Amino acid sequence: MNSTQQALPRLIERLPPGRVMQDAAFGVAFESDGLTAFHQKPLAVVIPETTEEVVTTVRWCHEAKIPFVARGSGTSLSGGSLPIAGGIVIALNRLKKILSLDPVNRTAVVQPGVVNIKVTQAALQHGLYFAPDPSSQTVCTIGGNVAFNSGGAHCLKYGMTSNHVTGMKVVLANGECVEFGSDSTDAIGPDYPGLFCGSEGLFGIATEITLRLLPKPEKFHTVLVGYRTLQAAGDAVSAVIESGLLPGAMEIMDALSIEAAEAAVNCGYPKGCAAVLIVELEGPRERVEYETEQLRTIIARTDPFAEHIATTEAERLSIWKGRKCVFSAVGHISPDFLVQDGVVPRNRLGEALVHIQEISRDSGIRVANVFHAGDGNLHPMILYDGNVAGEFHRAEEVCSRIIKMCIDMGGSITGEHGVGMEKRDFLPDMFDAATIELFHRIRGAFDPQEVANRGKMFPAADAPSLSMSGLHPLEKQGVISRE
Amino acid sequence: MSSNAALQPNSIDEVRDAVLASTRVKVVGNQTKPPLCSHHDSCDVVSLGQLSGVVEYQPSEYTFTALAGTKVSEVAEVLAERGQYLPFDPMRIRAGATLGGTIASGLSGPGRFRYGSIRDFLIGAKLMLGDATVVHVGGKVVKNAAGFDIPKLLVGSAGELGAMLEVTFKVFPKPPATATLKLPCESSQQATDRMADAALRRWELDAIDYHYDTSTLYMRQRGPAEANRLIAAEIESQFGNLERLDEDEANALWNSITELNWSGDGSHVVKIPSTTRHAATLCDTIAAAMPIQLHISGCGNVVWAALTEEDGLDELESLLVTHNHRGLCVCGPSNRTKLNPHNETNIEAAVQQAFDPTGRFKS
Ligand SMILES: Cc1cc2nc3c(=O)[nH]c(=O)nc-3n(C[C@H](O)[C@H](O)[C@H](O)COP(=O)(O)OP(=O)(O)OC[C@H]3O[C@@H](n4cnc5c(N)ncnc54)[C@H](O)[C@@H]3O)c2cc1C
Ligand SMILES: Cc1cc2nc3c(=O)[nH]c(=O)nc-3n(C[C@H](O)[C@H](O)[C@H](O)COP(=O)(O)OP(=O)(O)OC[C@H]3O[C@@H](n4cnc5c(N)ncnc54)[C@H](O)[C@@H]3O)c2cc1C
Repeated sequence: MNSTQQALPRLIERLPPGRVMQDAAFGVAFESDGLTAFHQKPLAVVIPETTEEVVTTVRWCHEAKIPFVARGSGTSLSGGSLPIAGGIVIALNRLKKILSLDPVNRTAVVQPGVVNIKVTQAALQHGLYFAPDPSSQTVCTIGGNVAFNSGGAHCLKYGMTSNHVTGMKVVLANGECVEFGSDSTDAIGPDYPGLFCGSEGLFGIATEITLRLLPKPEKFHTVLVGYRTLQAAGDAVSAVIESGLLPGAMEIMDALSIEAAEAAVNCGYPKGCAAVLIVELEGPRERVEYETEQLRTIIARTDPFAEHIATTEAERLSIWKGRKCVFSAVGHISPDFLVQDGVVPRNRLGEALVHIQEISRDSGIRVANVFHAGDGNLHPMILYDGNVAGEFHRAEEVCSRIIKMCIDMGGSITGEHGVGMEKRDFLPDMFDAATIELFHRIRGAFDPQEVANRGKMFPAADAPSLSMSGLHPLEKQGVISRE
Repeated sequence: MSSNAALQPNSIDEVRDAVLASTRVKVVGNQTKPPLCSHHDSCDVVSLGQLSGVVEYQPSEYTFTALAGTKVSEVAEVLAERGQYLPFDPMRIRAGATLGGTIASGLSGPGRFRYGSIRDFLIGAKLMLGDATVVHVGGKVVKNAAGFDIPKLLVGSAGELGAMLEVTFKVFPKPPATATLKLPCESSQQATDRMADAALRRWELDAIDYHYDTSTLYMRQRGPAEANRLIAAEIESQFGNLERLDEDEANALWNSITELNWSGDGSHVVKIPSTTRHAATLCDTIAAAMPIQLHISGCGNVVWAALTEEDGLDELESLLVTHNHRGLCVCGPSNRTKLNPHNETNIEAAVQQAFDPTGRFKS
């Protein structure tokens, strides 16, 4: 019996019955997150129902020096919510109340286990919505969004999750409960809610989060444009940017992604394109109508191969369906795949894509590309067959070359999926030793014993076991798709 | 601009030498003497005003990088040439505010309402820590989720976490036209009710401010001129009695708000974070108790209070204590910085220690 198992009865004593699950079969569901290549059995799963129970659990971890990982829906794509060997999982799904929603202040206070889309669903009655919309929004939780500072297609205009969080209650890794920020968008003193967003579960557990809500845009204008080359699609993005327009979203899909999307949902994109660009304008109708004209003129000058303008909400959703399904759709053209999430300066997107093609050719591994063209956030999908000996490792090698390319171009190793377990070895390529030392000191301030999500984000020796293939269970069921 | 800074380093190496040579350091920008620059007698003042200049600006990236001592006004000009701007309306730029000082002060103007405040646009920084090591936090691309988001923590840090040497901001294209609407209100409550109403509408206003002393609500639109005109007509049909300011009047108005000179020279100006829901009550309570000028900005998220007598700061503080608000003195002859400050928590002390192990920058 190891130390966690010995200490566990003391936790069980302190919590109401039924909170600590040790059943191995139950634990299986928590063994991995969206990065299914990694698996680790938790020794127990704790399911608190109140902030006080979170405090009790975390304090026990701190006292017994037992690592924990907070978990929302486990959709992390970087191994962020993977269990830690010898540690416990704290599953927050029962903390799922929207505690208040104030249309006067345009804020909502929610518990961490609230699923992202539920906030918008609750806010819509006041004409409000929650802007950050990861593709996993029907499943992922606000706690996970905060910890990963998640994004989506609308980040250029609206920023990431942290832009929409003004305050939170946090159980620090030593079990102390503190409040950061408030319900005002202004503050005095350093911005702690901002620091906590994106801390990847290494500081503690957010148990109440104050979110900003925005009025739902009145009108959308969505255009799908086909191009003969990827380069032409990239140039079109620059032309839009230079015109002074600020679209809500600008997305590009390459030929392989289009092929996958067509195979999966028959989205009716123009045939024979090397790339499609989706541009969406949004706002009050008078403004959108004016900008629509501007956009039409700009697009006409970019030598488009085909153009489709959504005239109804159904057509708009159909354009987005093709885009949003790409990741799950890739299953139609490849048994397995890995997704990367690097960022490059936007004006080097074309160069980056050419380079990715070269890497793909060199390695004999196919790479399909969809990306948030507006903010340079690439999502290359590295296609492989886990049953073919050596292919997984070649696919990993492709990932690592792409990540290095992003760093060399002055970009980032992650735009929205987090460093987690997957990219921790690349952290020193992006930040110098002094900066990483500062990160460690800050982490040490929050969590001197390193019990909160130990082994994530920072390079470390202990690697959990790898498996070579598989979609997230929810993707297999077609509930969510990757962005 | 007058300066009593003892040291004006010209390079990062000189900043390092200055920091290492002192046991206590107060880093300032142009040391324009607001209370935020007040310091202990034992502090050496290091002005970063000489570390000035735009290092990198690529309009197509929507980002720029500049040395921290660069004047915000200089950056605003460079951006304007390419039709871009900082949407949060940086404050006091005519007074000579620098980028570093603006971040460290954590001040954002009326434009914060639409796209967020300065915290939402600062994406990276080169920072000298208390032990004189230099770190590079955040990144230079508009989207980045790697490492801890330390740039956010620098906002409002008042120079206590380290000396910002170089900073990277996200910027936006500036919409083609601006229109400002002026609406007299009967009470501050009516004004904030209208604020709340306007903020929920399809109009997507750019700024909503209320000048308490003249009972006037101001709403700003940004977008194509014709669209602004049509939307304004609808706002008028809802609220009635609107006046549309001409460009000069509008510029004068918004400048007086961002420059904080609506209150007249020499006032003590205090920032009080609030909300749309509470701003009116807070202002009414303060105004009933003492002679003071008030302005509500950011759709109620900030109340600016200006008073001429230093004694008034004590009275204001006791009101803030009663109503559970906090204040930050940003201008005026007093050395007082915080009103109703909260006690430093253990975690704040520990994080401060992580940045500044030797306690050099701590006030
Ligand atoms: C199909 C698919 C599509 C996706 N699309 C996107 C996308 O478009 N954009 C995007 O950004 N991401 C996307 N993701 C990644 C993922 O959905 C997001 O990172 C999401 O925010 C994770 O939420 P979760 O509730 O599943 O968190 P989990 O995976 O359970 O946890 C993620 C991290 O948050 C920590 N955590 C969870 N709750 C808390 C808490 N209360 N306090 C502190 N730490 C906590 C965990 O320890 C872990 O480090 C996608 C994932 C999938 C599977
Ligand atoms: C009525 C009024 C009058 C004012 N008068 C002036 C004025 O005349 N001129 C003026 O500029 N501002 C004035 N201010 C406020 C000022 O504009 C803002 O605080 C501004 O951001 C200060 O910029 P600065 O560069 O002068 O910073 P400073 O005033 O020099 O410093 C402000 C704060 O930032 C910190 N700081 C500055 N630079 C750095 C850095 N590189 N790294 C870390 N910390 C740093 C300082 O320690 C201090 O806490 C006034 C405000 C009001 C309301």
